Amino acid sequence: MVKKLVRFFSDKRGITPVLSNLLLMVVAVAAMSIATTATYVITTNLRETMSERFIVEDVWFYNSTISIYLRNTGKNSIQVSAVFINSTRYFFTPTSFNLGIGNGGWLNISTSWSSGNIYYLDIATLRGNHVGGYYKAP
Amino acid sequence: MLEDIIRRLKRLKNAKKGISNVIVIMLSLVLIVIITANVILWSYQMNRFDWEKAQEGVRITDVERVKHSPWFTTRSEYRVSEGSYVSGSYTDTQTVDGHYERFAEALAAPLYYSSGYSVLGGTYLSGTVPDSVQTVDSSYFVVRSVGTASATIAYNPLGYNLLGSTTFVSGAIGDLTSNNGVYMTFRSYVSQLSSGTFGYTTAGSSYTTISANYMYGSVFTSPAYSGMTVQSITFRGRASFGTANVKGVLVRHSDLTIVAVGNPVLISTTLNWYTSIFSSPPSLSANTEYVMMLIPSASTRFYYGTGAANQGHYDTTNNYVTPANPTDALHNNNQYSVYCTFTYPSQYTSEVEFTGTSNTEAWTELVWTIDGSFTTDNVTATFQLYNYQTGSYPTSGDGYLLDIIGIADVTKTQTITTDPTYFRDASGNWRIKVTGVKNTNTQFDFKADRIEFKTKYYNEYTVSTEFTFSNMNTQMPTQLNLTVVSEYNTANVNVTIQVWNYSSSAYVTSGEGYLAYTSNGANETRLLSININPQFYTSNGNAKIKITGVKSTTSQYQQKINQISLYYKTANTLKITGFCAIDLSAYPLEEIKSVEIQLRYRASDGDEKWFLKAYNWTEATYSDAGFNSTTGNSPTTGWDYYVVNLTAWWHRYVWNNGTIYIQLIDQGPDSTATTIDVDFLGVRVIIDGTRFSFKNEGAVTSHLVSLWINNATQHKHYSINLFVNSGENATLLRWDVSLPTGDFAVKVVTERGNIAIYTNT
Repeated sequence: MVKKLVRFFSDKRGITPVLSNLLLMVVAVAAMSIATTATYVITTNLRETMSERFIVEDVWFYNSTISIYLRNTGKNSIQVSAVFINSTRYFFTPTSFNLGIGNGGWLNISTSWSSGNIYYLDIATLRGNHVGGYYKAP
Repeated sequence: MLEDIIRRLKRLKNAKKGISNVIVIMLSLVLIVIITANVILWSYQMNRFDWEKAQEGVRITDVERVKHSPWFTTRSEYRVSEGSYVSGSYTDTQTVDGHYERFAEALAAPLYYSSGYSVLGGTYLSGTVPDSVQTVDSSYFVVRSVGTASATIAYNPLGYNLLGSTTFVSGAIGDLTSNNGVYMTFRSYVSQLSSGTFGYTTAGSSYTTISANYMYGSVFTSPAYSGMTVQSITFRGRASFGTANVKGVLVRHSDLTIVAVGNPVLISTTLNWYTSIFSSPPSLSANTEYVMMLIPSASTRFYYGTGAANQGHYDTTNNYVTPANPTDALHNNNQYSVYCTFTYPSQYTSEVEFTGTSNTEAWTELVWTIDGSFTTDNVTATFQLYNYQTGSYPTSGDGYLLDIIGIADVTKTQTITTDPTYFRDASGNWRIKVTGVKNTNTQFDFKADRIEFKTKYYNEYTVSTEFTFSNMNTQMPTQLNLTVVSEYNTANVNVTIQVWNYSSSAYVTSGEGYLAYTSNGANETRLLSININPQFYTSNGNAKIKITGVKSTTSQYQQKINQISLYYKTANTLKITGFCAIDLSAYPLEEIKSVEIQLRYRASDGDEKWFLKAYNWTEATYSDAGFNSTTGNSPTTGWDYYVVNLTAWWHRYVWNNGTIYIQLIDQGPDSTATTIDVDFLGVRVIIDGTRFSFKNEGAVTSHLVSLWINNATQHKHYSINLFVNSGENATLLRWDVSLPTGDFAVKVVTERGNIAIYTNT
């Protein structure tokens, strides 16, 4: 028995093919993992972007504020990244405006407005979707 | 063909070149297919979402301010507390349509029986209420009378009996009727004797030899007792030889005459005390000198001690057989050992029994009195009243008095309330014994000044029973008719029947509600009718009467009530109650501002007003407190509306499940039997809300999630949750939404993001 073990470990024949096959297998698995991860990331972003829906329920011009009530009607939570009035970007509060699925909330923009003027309000989300429309100040 | 396919597969199986490329391409294709499939799937989903959104078509058809709820009408039949139902159904009162339910005022005369009793005078024997007083039958409610007035009669002795050796001294039996110092006197007798000695009882050491027929002795002074009698003479001596007979001789010293000679006593030669007994004991005077002597038949030694000068006496010329007065006696100084034994009275007693007669009524009390005195002090006086029940004079308790009485008059009295009739016999005879005892040597007298035997018994009996009625009609009566059927087991009982007047808080003593008659011993029916202010005789459904029997008699009797009934007549009145329930799921309690009750009715006459009340759950009674109108409604005999508002007090009248009880009542009793037709009776709540009406004209069901009320000054947002099916209408009632005045716009937003707008300009 001992003799057989000594002979097994002393035999050097066939090592090179085995190592090459193993190395090739590792490379293949790594490549597939990268490809799968890339696919997941790409499809997730695509799905979330496609699933976003939100509307402007109400726009209220009062004092020196324009308040926009947004409702998330889509399949994902949204985060408002920018608000444009007449193509000019404005800061808004709350600065981190998130809406869960089915939720709504006021988004306030401090700016002067003139009664009777028409304003184009455009709200963009972090994923790049946007909702816009013309609103006449009362 | 098959061979060609098999050949090609074998070639493919054996071809090893390009396998890796194929695998890489296939994996890439798989990833591309996955990505593409997902994109298509998500695109399909969102397109469908957008398509459904495009299919929505919700429209706001109306927005209106809501001031009140619909009417909530009765859901069960009315309860008629007073008056009567005529026709129709409660369903006829749910809408204003000319269909009505009819009620009528009505006279009522329910019959009540006594439900309780209280024996005010007498003793309950048997019967129950109301069972025994409902029908005229053999079942009675029986109460036994009790004495209420008494007669007192005093008696004095009519005779006397001397007891023991008591002797009558003076006075007459008639002297005992008053305490006036005029006595009837009785003398005591000796009831006990005591004995004593006097003389020289010491045995002397010297002796004198006395020959036969010689008489020797010494002089001694008798004691101070009265009534003494000498029993014997005792001396100390012996016969000089053999035996000798010796006689004792008692000699009065003052004249030396013999008082008595004792029987001979045989003596021997033994020195001893020997006694010569008097067969007829002589009396002995007090404080008197006597010579106690002896005379022997033979020579005798007579012992002596030293005495006083001339104390000794001797007579040597006397005769033993017939002793003679020793008038010639000589003297010496010897004090012979000789003494007398005598008796004297030590206790006197007077006993006398007085007798008399009395009545034989049922006594309730007996008072016997003795006033008298004795002719000496410290007499133990015992007064006893003979007990015929035990057949003896008592020695304690009732009928027994004991005192130490002297020469001053003392009044002794005793009141007997327990079985006083024991102290008389069936004919009313009685006996009083007076005993005076004193340990004394002096006789005394008993002086009776007054002896009285006073009886007390009822000569009037009364029975009084109060019967109560309860749980009767609480409506004001117009007439009360009482019927009393009763009898007494004796005739000529003065009976009064009185009804309680709650206004004066007293039983009536005249007029209506009062009846007096004399019973005839049989069942009698008496009626009392109260027509004037009958409401004074009832209170909260209660009434009570008192039936009293009084008779001057010395015998008890029974009051037997057979029937007591009361007809309770009421006037034309109507009281009906309807039961409504507010739908609190649609109109929550917290949103209710007030409650309004509306009645549409028609009265057959306009003689009286009609009132609406509601059950006040706080005070547990029907009330109209807090109503905007409490003055009632005067009918026109046509169809009338009567509306009341419960104002801010509404919450007292609405239970927490929305129940409200409405009562329609008339103004009060009157002579007209009014008919009331109720066309409508309902309640509604006063609120301040907004009703929104929607119509879904789209092809899909819409979920409304947001509501806006906008005007120039405010944009108010409300979250809602309302689904409207395709093609259907829906309303939304909001108590928290108040429409602004002036122009406004209402927007409603669906879950998919569509917006419908309603403007009010």
